[in-house]
Amino acid sequence: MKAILETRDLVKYYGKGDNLVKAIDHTDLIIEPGEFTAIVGRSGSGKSTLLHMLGGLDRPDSGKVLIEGRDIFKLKDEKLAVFRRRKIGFIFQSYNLVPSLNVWENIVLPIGLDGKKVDTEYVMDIICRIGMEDKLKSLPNTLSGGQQQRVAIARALASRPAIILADEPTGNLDSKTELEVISMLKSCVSEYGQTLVMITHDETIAQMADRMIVIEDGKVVRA
Amino acid sequence: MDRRKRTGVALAAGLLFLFVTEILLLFLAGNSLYKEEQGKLGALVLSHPEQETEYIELFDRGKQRNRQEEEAGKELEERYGYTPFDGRSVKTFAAYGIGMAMVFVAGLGVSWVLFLRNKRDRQQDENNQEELREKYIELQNHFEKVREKLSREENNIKSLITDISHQLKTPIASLKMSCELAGSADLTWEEREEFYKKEWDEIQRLENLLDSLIHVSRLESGMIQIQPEMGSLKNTLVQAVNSVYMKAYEKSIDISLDEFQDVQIVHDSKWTGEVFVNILDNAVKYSPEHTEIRIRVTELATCMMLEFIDQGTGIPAEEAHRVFQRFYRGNQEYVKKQEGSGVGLYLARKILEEQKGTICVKVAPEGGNNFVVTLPKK
Amino acid sequence: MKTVTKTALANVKQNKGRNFLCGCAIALTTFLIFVVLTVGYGMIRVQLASVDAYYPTYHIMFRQVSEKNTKALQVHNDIEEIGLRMDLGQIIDDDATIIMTAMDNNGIRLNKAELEEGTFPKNEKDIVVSKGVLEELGIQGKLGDEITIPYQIYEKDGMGYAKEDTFRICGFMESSDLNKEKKMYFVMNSMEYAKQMIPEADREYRVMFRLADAEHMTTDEIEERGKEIGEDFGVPEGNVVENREYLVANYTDPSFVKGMIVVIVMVVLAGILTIYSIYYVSMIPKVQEYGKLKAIGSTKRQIRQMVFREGMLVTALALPVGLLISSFLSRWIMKQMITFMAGEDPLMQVAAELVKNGEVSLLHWWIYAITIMAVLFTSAVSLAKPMRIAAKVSPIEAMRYQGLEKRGKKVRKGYQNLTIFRLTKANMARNKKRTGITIVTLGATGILFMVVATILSCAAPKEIARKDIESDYKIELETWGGDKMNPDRDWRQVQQNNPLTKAFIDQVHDVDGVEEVKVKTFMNGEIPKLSMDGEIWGADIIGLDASYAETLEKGEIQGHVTYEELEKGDKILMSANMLYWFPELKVGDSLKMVLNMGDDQVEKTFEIGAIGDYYESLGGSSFYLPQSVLEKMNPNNLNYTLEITVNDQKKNSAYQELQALADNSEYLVTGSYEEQLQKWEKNMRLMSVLCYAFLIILGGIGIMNLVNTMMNSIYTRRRELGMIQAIGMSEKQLIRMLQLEGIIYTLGTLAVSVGIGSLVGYGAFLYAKTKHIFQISEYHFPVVPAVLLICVVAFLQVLLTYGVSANFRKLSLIDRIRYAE
Repeated sequence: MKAILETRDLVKYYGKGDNLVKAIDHTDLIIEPGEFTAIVGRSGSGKSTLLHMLGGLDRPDSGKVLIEGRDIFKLKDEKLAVFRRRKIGFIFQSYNLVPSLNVWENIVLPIGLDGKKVDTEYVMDIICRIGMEDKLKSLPNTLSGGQQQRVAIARALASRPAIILADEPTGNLDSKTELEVISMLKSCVSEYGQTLVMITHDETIAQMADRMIVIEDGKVVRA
Repeated sequence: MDRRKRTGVALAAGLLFLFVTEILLLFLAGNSLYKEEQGKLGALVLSHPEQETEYIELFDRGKQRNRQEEEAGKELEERYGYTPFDGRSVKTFAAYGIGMAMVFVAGLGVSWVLFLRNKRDRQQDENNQEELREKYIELQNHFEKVREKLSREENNIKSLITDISHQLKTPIASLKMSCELAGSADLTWEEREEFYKKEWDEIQRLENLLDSLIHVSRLESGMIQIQPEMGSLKNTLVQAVNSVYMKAYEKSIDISLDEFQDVQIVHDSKWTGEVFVNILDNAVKYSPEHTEIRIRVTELATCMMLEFIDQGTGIPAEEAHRVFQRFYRGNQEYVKKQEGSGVGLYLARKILEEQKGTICVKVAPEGGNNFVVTLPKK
Repeated sequence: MKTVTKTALANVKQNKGRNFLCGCAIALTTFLIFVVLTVGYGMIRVQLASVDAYYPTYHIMFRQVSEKNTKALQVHNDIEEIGLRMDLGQIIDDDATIIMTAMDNNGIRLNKAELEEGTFPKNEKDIVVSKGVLEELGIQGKLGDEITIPYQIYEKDGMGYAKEDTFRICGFMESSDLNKEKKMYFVMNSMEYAKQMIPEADREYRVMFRLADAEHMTTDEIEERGKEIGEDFGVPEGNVVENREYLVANYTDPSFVKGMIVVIVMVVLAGILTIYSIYYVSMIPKVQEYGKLKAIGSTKRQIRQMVFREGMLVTALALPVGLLISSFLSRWIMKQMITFMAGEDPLMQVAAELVKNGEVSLLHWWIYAITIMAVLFTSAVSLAKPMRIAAKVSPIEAMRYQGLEKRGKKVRKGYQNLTIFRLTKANMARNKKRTGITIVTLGATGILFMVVATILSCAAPKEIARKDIESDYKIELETWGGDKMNPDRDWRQVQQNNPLTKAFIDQVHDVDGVEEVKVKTFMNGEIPKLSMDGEIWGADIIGLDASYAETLEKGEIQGHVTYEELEKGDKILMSANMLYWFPELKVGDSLKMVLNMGDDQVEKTFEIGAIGDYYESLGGSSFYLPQSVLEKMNPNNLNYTLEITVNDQKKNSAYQELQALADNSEYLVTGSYEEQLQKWEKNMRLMSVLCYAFLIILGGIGIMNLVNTMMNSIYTRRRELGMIQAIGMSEKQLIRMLQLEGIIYTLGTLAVSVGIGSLVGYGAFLYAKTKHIFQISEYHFPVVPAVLLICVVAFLQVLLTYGVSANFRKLSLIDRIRYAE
């Protein structure tokens, strides 16, 4: 079974000498396609760094990241950006939305950046599923945290990427909203056949994943 | 390729045109300068025809002017206040020069624009190619995935059968032993009663297991369809509560349902009810006597959240995500003591996920479990 | 150091970028204010100094003062210093008048007497002569030679017996053409000798003196005072002579000072606007910080102080830098300006010399003081609003601050499909206020630029020159009245002995190249009923021949009267200039005039037939009449001006000949169109250079603002931009977005500058036209400056965008996102 996302001997260190921080320390990881994988670890365990590398946002000191079998860091910056745009959807913990654009525009932003036309039906379908169809023209500063995250999810889904990487997307939300957001994410992803990799420190959420990977001090401890 | 060639040709033609125009202008400029010289000569001759030969000799273009002559001419002009910029020849030259410069600049501009356009077109071609390639790879992956899913399902069924046979082995072995023992030797009436009861229990347990196994296998093999329909959530919930009420009563466990506004949601009432029963069943099984099980329903933006809070000992953190795995029963003593097949929660999760819902377990404030279920409203 | 100040200091270090920018703006403002003040004041001082250097510097001269009184005047409190001159006699010569005079040192100095060679008389028998004198006397002599001269001493009732004496030539002075022409010369003896020759009781001095504390007195006041002192010391009014030229030249134009003040106010405003917007824009990311400070216990007042002190610290650093630079550069700037303006004017040439030699001090303590105060004021005012903003921040709000403005729009129409362009537009729309301020600031400078450019390009020197002189060459009489030293210059005398005779005019006609000669006549007098400040207004009437009929009639703005009607002699055409002084005059009023006819006077009453508006070239007179009318009244030769049209090809030779003709009479002056044109062209060039230089610096301040806005807009959005890049915007797209923003700013600025600027420029043109500034009459759109403006603005934008985006890209993608946390 071919892994959709894979790291081989990934290394990322910060600082030097006494200040050396081994953010990622010779990590091998395999993510199966179509699965919801949770990456769990305490703060400072290197999970954010790992996610950023999986998404090609940061270059490692050594090692490879393979997406669909391709070594993404062999690509030039420009090509990498395009690749990322088409293959990966990002959801951050906060500041997901562009403040000057309304909900609809935020959702279709990646599509616009790709220069493609929006498949209005498909996007509306997603918007209905997240329950924001009556707030299309609202600006982000009028939305609650949960609503903003839902819009972020919609955006991550709208461009139909193969992989969705979420960095503690519910970190700022209360437990109820968190539950809601996670369940929504999970169901959308499974319906559209995408792979979801989510970083969380909350083991409750991790329960809902198909697989859980525990990171400690830059190494995979449990898979 | 064709477009590129065309642009190349256009570029070449343009350059040629430019070149020719410049040469032409240059020629015209030189020509007009020449004419001026002739005019001067003519004017001189006309005013003093008798000096004709002298003038033509002086005007011999082959001759170079010496310093003295230049100075004299310059002095004369200065005396009469003429600067070099008054001369018509200068103006002519300037005019032609400007003309040439304009043509040149225009030519440059046009070729630059063409060049840019060409570049842009080429880039677009490349991009399109890239995209097609990507799409192709994606399609390949997709097929790969489908194939894998099929093989996985196959494996699933294989492992299911293995698991089931495994699970069945233990109680059947136990039964067999019981029967053997019961059939052999001398047993007192009481001993026989005991065996009898034990066997009966075992058979009961087998039935339950078989039941669950059937459910699981049917679900796994897709024989059971979840058929969601619009229905009252409250009804489904209340029915589930009713079916475990007796068991709870026997242990003096109080089941309370917080009041909530009923909603009509799309769900399979039978199977969802199964899920609730499973959860409540577990709650009753693993809670001590004289405790309370509380059910709380909250309406969220896009889904309904149901919380089943018991006052038992709770599931330890490391096991939390494992309880939903197939046949998992946990390592704790009291769990092992109880009857259970280990598929209840697995089933529950499968059913809920089929309906786009979720289930997870949290630690309740008083140390027990809080099973949280979500079901989408639409 | 107090905590607040410590924090302020730390803040200064932290916000290096923004504070550096502010510092630059402050330094520029300082520079501008200082230079304007220095150069402006310097110009005034230089002018005064050069006047002092050029003209004789005495205020008043008394004639026929007794020796006793000279001693008395010397000790007079109001008199600063006196110089003495005594004419002791005359050298005997048949046709020339050679006056022997003696001056004391002060007198020599106050009179600015100069020698060609040698020294002034020291020994008793020393004498200073001129070459012309020796010629007249038929004597040869050089420095050190002894010459014997016959002379007569002045005595009470005439001249004494002829005497002879030998003198030693100690110096030579210049003989001017005037001397030669009038056959009137001077030689200078020693005061010793003069006193020896004339007994004390008979001595009569000319006393030249300066009044003490005269800087604050007006010309009139000085004259009055002189007369008063004269009265006190028995000097009749007739013997009180003012040094007219010197006094007049000392007069400074108050409108110049007004202009300077206006410019400084503008600079201060520009400075305030820029510094304010720099702070305002960079206040936004600091809100969280101030909130946290508040949360740990700072009071509103302390926060305000912090902001204020931070700003003032920057000012304290930038101000000295600005002052230093301007101190060094002002001298150079003054030199350039003066040298450029010097040209033909001998007065300005002296001024240039003074500046070059550094004789006029340019740097005054009070200029520093005013500059420092102005800049401090600017800084303080610019900080007011930011201080208030910082203080108002509530800690809770600040800590939860997400960089979004809570107030403002809730919804947005938006687009179906997004492109980079639309994304950029949305970004700019969100921050309309900030975008607006930036564009307006820069645009304001642009508008000013366009207005100045319009005025300068509409001021076509050719047309202006044309309004000064209507023909190619002008020969005119130069007369003035009330000059006791030169009574022959009075028109009343000249018209009896007018060099512009028919013969002369014929000679002019004969010059090769002269095509046409028009003659204008002139008559003057007084209008008793019109007076201003106690002075009776003069009546200047120019007489024009029939060829001017159309011009006269066309220029009439009130009432109407034809040339033929005027010929009747009852009505008179009044120039609109008169309305400036006497606005109550209107058509139909009758004016009684007392007109000069040589030595006689004649009364005549005219009715104002019409009021007209005419160019200077017509004569610049208050009244106009047909020539025939003047002729009938006054038998004298009233020819005053010859307007000569010359064939283009022959201009050079013709001008020379005409000049030669005019040189024949000392009363004639000449002027040519080319001269005027040159003068105006030079003036315009100078003005252009000055204005544009000033505008460029002002523009520099505005540009600082733009830089700050752009940098800041990216800085506050880096998290957002990083995020958008994470979801798929490539670097190229990011650059394109930044470039688009830059372009939008550019277009906005240009629209304001060129668009509104052109409109305002047109309005300025209309205003200038009515006020006759620079004689502007036709509208030319300043194409070249506009194109230049567009190019410069566009270029700057590109440069800025490139620089800012290069700066931004130095941060790796992760840092951009991470910075947020």
